[in-house]
Amino acid sequence: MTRFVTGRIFGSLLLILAALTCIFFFIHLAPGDPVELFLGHDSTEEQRLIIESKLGLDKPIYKQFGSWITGVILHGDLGDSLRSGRPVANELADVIPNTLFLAACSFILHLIIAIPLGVWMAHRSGSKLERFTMSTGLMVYSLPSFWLGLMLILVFCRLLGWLPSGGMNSIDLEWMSPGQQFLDTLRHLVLPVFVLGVSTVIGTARYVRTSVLEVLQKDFIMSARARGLSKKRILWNHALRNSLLPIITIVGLNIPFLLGGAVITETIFSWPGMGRLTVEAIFARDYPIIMGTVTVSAFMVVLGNLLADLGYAFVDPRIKLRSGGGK
Amino acid sequence: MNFLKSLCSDKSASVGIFILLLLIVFSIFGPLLVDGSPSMLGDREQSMEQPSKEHIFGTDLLGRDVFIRLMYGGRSSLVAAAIAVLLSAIVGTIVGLLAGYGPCWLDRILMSFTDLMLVFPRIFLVLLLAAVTKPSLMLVIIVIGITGWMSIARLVRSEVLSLKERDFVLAARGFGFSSIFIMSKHILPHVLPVVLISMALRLGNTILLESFLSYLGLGVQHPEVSWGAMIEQGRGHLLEAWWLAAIPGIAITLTVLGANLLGDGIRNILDPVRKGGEHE
Repeated sequence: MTRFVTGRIFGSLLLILAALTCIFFFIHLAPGDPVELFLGHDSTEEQRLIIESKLGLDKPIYKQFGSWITGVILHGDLGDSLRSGRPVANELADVIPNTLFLAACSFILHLIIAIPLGVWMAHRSGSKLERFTMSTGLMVYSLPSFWLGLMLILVFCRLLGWLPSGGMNSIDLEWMSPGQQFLDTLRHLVLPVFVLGVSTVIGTARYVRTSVLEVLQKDFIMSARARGLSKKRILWNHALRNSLLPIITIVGLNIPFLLGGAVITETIFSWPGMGRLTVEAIFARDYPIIMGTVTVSAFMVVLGNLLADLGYAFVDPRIKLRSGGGK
Repeated sequence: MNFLKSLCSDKSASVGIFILLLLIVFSIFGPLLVDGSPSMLGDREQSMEQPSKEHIFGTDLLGRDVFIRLMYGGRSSLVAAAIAVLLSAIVGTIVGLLAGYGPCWLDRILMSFTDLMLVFPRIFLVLLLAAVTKPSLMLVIIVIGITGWMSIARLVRSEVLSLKERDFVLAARGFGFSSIFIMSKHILPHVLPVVLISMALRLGNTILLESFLSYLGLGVQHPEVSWGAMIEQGRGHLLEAWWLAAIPGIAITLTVLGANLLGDGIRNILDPVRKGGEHE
């Protein structure tokens, strides 16, 4: 088991290192000239030199790479933002908690809806109602989330005026009581969480459904049935519990999807997170920020996969036994 | 042929095909039947007119007919998505073939690279690419195309690995045919169905990604139109002219739904055990 864990951690570290290398050479070898794109055509030679030295572009590329990668690994130093002049690490530290908060809320909401829905679909498999649910789910899955966000803003913010259309808090947050502050955040949270969570619901529900249907074929379900346990009990206690194992994988594998979705949701709802920072940085041609957010997102994906692998091994004793052989 | 027959008898696949065909006819052939161009300006009084008999989807801020713009926008959106998926399929098939059939070291290098690319959430990769170049429709096609090949490559590789040991391939090798000949004549035809299926399954997501990039302004530039760009133009006038953003969004939803239904149908036919299984 220890060998399995260390092997996985080592592999993940290598992958992150490779990802960092990839991002660096990608930005630096791409056909466009970052300095010109940042400054525009009518820049003076002096401005150019300042930006070049700021980005370290005046040194040979292997030196640039060396100092960048040691900076990232040893000091967590991702350079300074071109726009604000602040360290990228600080800019990221401001926004990452917001993205994680949004993503976590959406993920929990989607599980709360998807798991019972999946079990219910397995229970009613083949019925008309199940087919209807499936088609509705597919329809929701097909909605462009940025458009759904806009339409919800139109209905709930502009027409009905029930909810705020963007941001994470109201401007007058400081003058509110803690209870009001909590309610204020909650009101800002409703639409983004819904938009980010809703498209993944049907995917997970179908996953749970297939998984439950597969478990229902197993011998131990037969024996439970033979012992005269009620159908409900078999479904919820025996089948669901055994089919929840793949859910751990979903948690890990959903991270890229959630991060990607967060980019879209944050853009629409002006949520002060990593996704919006990335999009803003792209329009401002703020390369250090872009490199920073891509690095962090890659890191999160690797971490998610690692945790999913390890979690799976801890939960399923069969994997532990197999990995004892040193997989 | 058999496959086509079962495709037409599958309910979700046939509905999907119907929707897609309808939209293709609408946006590819529609502009030929209607006179007027997407950038033809109307009079000042015609600005942001509600849907009516004359303009069934209304007009935009500059008095341009939304129905006509929707046709032309569909053209660029559908063509962009189709080419991007094709590009992913080509790159994925080549990488998968080389990794599966080539020497062990090549397999290792290519698959490590594939795993590495999968580490980046696709949209970040797309945005990173878009940031270093000037926005255009071509850019969107290339960017989406070269960030979506990884899962196809893995799929093709695993197919090739099993095909490699089959008798007909071993025989071809015994005859002394070159690797390139065996790959293109004997292995590729067997891999193609898998590639086609994964192309159908990816189409929906590709359209969504394309429309988001166009929405951000990283896709087609004025005076060309696309559905995503139309939504962006309507964003500032949600209250006064809801149809500007609503209608292109419905068109995108329908297209993606069609593609997803088709993908579902294909999967049902190929994998009846998992009928209605999880979505990609």
